[in-house]
Order: sequence, then C-alpha cells, then structure tokens
Amino acid sequence: MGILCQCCNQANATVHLTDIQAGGEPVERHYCEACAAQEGITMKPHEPINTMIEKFVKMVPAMRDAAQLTCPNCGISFGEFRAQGLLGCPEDYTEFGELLMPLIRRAHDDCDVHRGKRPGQTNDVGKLRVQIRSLERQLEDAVAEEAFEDAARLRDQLNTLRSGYDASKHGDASEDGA
Amino acid sequence: MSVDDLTGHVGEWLRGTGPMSDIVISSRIRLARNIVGYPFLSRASGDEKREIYRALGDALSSAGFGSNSFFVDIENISDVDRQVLVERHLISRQHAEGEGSRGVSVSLNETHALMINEEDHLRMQVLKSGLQLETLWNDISIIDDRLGSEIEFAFDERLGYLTACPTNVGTGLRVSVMLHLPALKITGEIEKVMRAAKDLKLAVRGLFGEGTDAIGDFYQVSNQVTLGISEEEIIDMFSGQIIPQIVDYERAAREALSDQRSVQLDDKVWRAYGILENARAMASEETMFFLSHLRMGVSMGRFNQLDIGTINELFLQIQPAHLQKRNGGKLSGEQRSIARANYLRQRLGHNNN
Repeated sequence: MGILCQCCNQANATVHLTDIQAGGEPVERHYCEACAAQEGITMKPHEPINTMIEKFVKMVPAMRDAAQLTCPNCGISFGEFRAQGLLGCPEDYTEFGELLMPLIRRAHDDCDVHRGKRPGQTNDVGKLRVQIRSLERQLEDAVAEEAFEDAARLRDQLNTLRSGYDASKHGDASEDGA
Repeated sequence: MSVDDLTGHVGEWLRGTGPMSDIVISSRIRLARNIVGYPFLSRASGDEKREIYRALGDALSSAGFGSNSFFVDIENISDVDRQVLVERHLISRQHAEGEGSRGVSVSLNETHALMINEEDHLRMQVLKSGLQLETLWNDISIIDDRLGSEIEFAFDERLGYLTACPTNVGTGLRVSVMLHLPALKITGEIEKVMRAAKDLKLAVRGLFGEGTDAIGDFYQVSNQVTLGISEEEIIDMFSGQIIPQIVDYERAAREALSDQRSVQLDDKVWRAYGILENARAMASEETMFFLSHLRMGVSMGRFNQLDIGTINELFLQIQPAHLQKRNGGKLSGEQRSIARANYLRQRLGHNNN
C-alpha cells in the first residue's frame, strides 16, 4: 500500500524526503514524481537514467582531479584542505584559485574583493575613510531634510576628501610594487 | 612579570567601566596575519614553527613591545597556567591546546595580547571594558603597522591578508562584543535576538568563544564576513547599530521586569546572593548562573552592597584554574566546588564562618 503524494493527493508518492529541522526534529515529506519535479526536489523526470549515469561518471573524475590538485609549494592537496578546513600556505590561494573562490564567496556574503587596510597604509588613510563616511551620512540627512545649501557644502567637502583618499591609496599601492 | 602575578587582580577589560558597561562586558578586536615565506601552521614542521616563533619574537622586541608587556612561552608552562590565560581571555583554547613553539605577548594592563602560532602565525587582539570599538581599532591598527614595518605579512591585491582558513581572509578582522543579557533570557526573547543576529551573518557564542555555551547569560557577538567590507565599516556596523540595538532590547526587558514582576525579580537577585554567600560547595556553572542574577540586580540598582567591578572580578576568580592557582596546587572537581564556595563566602559574607 503506497502513500499518496502530499502535494496533489492523487498519485502514489515515490519521492520520500526526511528533513532535519533546526531543533533536530525529522520531518518526512512524500511526493509523486511530477510534483517533486515541480517543487524542484528532483531532476526532470524524463531525463533518461543512462544520461544521468553518464553525467555522474563524468563528474567523478573531475571531482577526483580537483581533490588531487596539489600545491607545489607546500604539498597540500585540495582534498586535504577540504578535509581539515585549513590551507597549507599563502600560495594555495593562487594554486587552488578557481576551486577556492566559490567557498570564499559563500563565506563572505558573495564578496571576493578586499576593501580594507593594506600593508604600509598608515592609520591616516583609515581616519580619512571614517571622515568620508560620516560626511556621506550628513549629506544623506541634509538631502532628506531638503537643506540644499548644507548639502552642496558637504558635497564639496566630500569631493576634496575623496580625491585625497584616492591619491593616498594609490601612493600605497605603488609603494608596495603592486 | 609572569602568569603567577596575574591571578590576584583583573585585567582592564573586566573593570566594568566604559560605555554601556551595565550590559556590555567587553569589546575585543583581533587581526590575523601570516609571515611571507612560511607555510601556514598545519603544514609547518617543528623547525619552521620555531623559526616563525623567533622571527615574530624579534619583530615584537624591535617594534618596542618589550617594555610595557611580558612574554609567555606557552609551550613550556603548566596546563594550569595555560588555563589561567584562557580564563583571562588572553589566549584561545586552541592556542592553549596546540603543539610546538607558541607564545603570547601581553601588555601589563592586559589590554593587548599578541598570540604567536595559533591558527595563524600571528593573532593580535586588543580588549577593553564596555563598548569601545573605535579606540580598539585605532590601537590594533597601530600595533599592526608597527609589526608590519618589521616583518612582511602575506597579502594579496585582490584577497587582502591571506589566512590559514579562508573564512578569515581579507581584513583578518574579528570584532567580538561580550554582552550580559539576563533579562532577555528570563523573558524568553533571547531566541529572537539570536535569530536576528544569524540573519545578519553574525556569530553568537558563549563566554569562551567557539563551541562554548552561554553560561552566566554571557553572549559574544562577532562578525563572520571579513572580505569585501572594510574594517571601519565592520566596526561602524557594530557600534552604530547592532550592539546599541541589542542593548536597547535588554534594557527594555529589564524595565518590563521591574514594572511587572518586581517581586520575582528581587527574589531572583536576593536568592542568588543568599546562595552565593552561604553555600558550602558550588559547581562552576551554578555559580555563574547566580552571579549573573546578582550582576543584573547590581546594574539595575536593585542591589547596592556590591559594585559591577567586584562582580566581574568574581566571575573570573571562580574559574577552575584561578581557584587552583590561589590554592597552590591541583584540585579535583569536588575540591574545587568547596574552594569556590569558601572563596565566595569570604568575598561576600559578613562573617567568615
């Protein structure tokens, strides 16, 4: 005796899911093939099984190759990194580049470019950044309050600070030989 | 100066002063850095760890960190001494339990602790009582500059500072603010705060960081995203929005309790005092529980026999390693409970019986 699909309540359920909730409570769900596909739980039902197997067989070596990719500098493989969560040396970021980026983006809210402090950058640049941000906020407030004279004055101040900020950032980058 | 000299007093961060110190115990910022030319520690040999240890030790002394600081060779001190440093938040558990050459340079007032060979070659941290993130950022950035002029840190134009774990790459910065939230716990609203924090990609942990429970109603809120956002933006977010908001919730919960359940509230506070002052054996966790209620009473002005600084100090002094240091030797769990109760009676009681 089969279970009916919880979605359409007509066809027999052939797809069975157990979700573990945040509290550790298992919740079972049952769908027929069509509803499961519609819910995005399974692949298209009309994909022939042999195509699926072929895809899988092709995927395995790619995964194996990725896991075996090894950093010539420290000798760690990508598989070892995945197992322990820690990289072997700074060069791994270059060696594992494209394999690493999806993980990095996932950890950092989809970001992949550094926007903070740089070596050799003095604290003054940081202070400049704080000033710029506070002016930006004041400008927003001035615009919201329709205090346009203040806004114009703030915008001029901001432009001066921003060009100073860009110049000092540039200076630092070229000093680093980057 | 050595670990022995630490245990009798408290560091600056537990003093109970600074902005919002009724609820914000302390603010902490740490930066992760690695030296160019060495593997990260999981791939470093014993010799390489020794070299890194020496290179950073040299950089610390030539950058002038000798005079107002003391250095502890973590590899060659006792387990209890390591635990003392963990209880004082000067090193992490991971650093205490690690292997090979490792050390920490601590400023005399314990506002900064620079760990060598933790997960990264260098983990600098600064900590102060109350909400003082801007000051801390200023301080740690100067420390970073001073050391950075002595030694080259691994840095990538696109990814920023390179760290052993990709979750720290970029700024390598972690802000942690320790909050005391007993009223939100009592009213059951703490879960809401935790959920909101998680939605904002923040981590909420217990007293000793990763993998520890929120004993004593202490919660550490910290950022997880370190890439694509500047240090100032992270700090701004914490001191401008996140922390004041949680503090407001806690204050509102405290007000609601004093308005609607003042007898029950005072009962909790005074029961806590009664037990702490009279018990003959106290386990660590129950002590934290009662001290938390007592701290709430003091910071709400409902209990005036003690000040916040004293309560903060008790939280530290009743920890296992501090108890053992005071007793001058290892104690079993049961012996610690007795020593803890004796200590509390001595500090709180009117008659030392």
